[in-house]
Amino acid sequence: MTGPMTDDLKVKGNDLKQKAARDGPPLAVRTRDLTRRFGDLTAVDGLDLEVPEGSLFGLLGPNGAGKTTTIRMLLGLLAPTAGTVEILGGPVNPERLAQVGYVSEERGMYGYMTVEEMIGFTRRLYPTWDDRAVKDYLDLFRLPRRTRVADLSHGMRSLLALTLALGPRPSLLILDEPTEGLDPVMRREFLSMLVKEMAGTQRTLLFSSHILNEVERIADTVAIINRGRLVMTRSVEDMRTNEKKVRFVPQRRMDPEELEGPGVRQVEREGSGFVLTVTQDLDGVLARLSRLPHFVLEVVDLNLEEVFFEYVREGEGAHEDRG
Amino acid sequence: MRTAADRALVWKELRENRWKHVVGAAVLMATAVVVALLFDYVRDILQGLLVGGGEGVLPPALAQIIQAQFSSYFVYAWSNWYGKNLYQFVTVLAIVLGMGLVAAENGSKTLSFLLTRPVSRRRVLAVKLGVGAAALAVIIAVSTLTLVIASHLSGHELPAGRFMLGTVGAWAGSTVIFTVAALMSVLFSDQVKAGMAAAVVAVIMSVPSWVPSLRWLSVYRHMQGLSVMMHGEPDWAAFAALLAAGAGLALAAVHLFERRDVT
Repeated sequence: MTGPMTDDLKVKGNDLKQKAARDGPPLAVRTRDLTRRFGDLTAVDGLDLEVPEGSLFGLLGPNGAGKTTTIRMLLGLLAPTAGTVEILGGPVNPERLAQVGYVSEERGMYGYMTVEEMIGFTRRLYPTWDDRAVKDYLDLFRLPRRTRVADLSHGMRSLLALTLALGPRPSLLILDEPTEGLDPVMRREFLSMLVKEMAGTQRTLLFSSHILNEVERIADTVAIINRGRLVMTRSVEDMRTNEKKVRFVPQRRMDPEELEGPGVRQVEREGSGFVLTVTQDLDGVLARLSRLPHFVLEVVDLNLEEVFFEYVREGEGAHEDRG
Repeated sequence: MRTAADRALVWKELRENRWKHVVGAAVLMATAVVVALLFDYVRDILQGLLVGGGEGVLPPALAQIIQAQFSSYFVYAWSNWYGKNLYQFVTVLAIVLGMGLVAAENGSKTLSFLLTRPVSRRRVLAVKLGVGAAALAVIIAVSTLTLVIASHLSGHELPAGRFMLGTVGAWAGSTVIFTVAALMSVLFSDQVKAGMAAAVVAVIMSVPSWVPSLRWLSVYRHMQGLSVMMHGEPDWAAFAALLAAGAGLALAAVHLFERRDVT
């Protein structure tokens, strides 16, 4: 079929493709200069966060870093002091919330309702609801349907909260400390189910946690927040490849400044040598260092926990000189 | 979808407050029965005091009031129901129902659950206010009807239509108290504080009752439905003013609720 209308659509389609290429992938969450103050305390400070659609995005940070405050602003529970929030392409409103699943840190649910009533109540608030999937989750988690929510264990409440969040088949799933209080077996079950649910879909998962190995297990992108500021956003793959420590012992006396350069975030003195924190272009950094006279040049792998501590420590104002 | 969500919210409100509604209705119905049954008993005692050589036991002014009150069952029932028990108890019930609307959900951490569903805050609070006001109407109507029936069963007839018409003012006044408590429930995170603040406002609202020239401003006076008792017709202007006050307070509560942080 051809004609003016289809030509018109083709032009519009091409425009959209060009726009997408220019603007990058569509974003499920976007904040600009997001700030929230509580009196004298600045809980979130000029946060620019971008969560691409379809990503599994881990928000990391120590206690009090501003993760929960950020999430609450994303959902419209807290008003920003400054800055803007967009979820699924616009400001938060009931229409967008219909596409969002959320599990809060405190798992607030109506304790006087039974599991069945809680599901029935939540179901009627959404325009779409996947009854079959919810039934499957209930069976998988062995949640007792006729038990009051108040009588469930903390772990079971978490699983029920997740079931309720997944019921509307959300485009964006936001989980605040989702595995807090779960025993190791339940935690594994919870994460496996989550990975299975998200795999191969365009659905976005944004979750906060301070349990680093679980973040490493399921996230494809990680952001670290400390003292309300975004200190790092990286893909886990990029981090595994490039985020390293390089131990370097020179043959002559050197100043740390001589070792600084592209890709090197930090140079710390360690005894007679140096430890460089490399965040990008590891091969380039190694090539540059290998041209300097040295006794030792070795790469030390970092796991997410070590990366996390590096960034948080830096945020706390750690001294660069360890030696 | 809209009606399904509204129905779900209404169901939740009724479920959440069912014991408050049941206990409130039960206490008022029991009071209605007691009011009906006590008439003959108290009248006999008082007649003994007033007629049986007991003049001088009671001060003349009080004796006059008691005689007037017991001169007809209608006057007795009205002054003991609308003039005392109903408006006093309903004021307390309105505060109890209103103080928990938002603050109780905040305390139990369910507010963040509710407000992250695809329902606007305006709708959430509108349903809460609507259910509370409807519950007050039902409780007032059912308990007043109980008094009419209990009176009939104890051998005293009340003009049912006229007597029930008194509920109009009682309900309108109770919605004002209820919306005051709802407003406090939005302002305070703790429902006890919200209840105490509402009680303080309720006491302040009683001040015009003590000043004869300001009595027309008293919510409680309008709740006593004197106009219906005397003329068989509610004071519609006062009724409209009470509804307007309630609506204004409800709008203020919605306005604040839409901007309220949920921490």
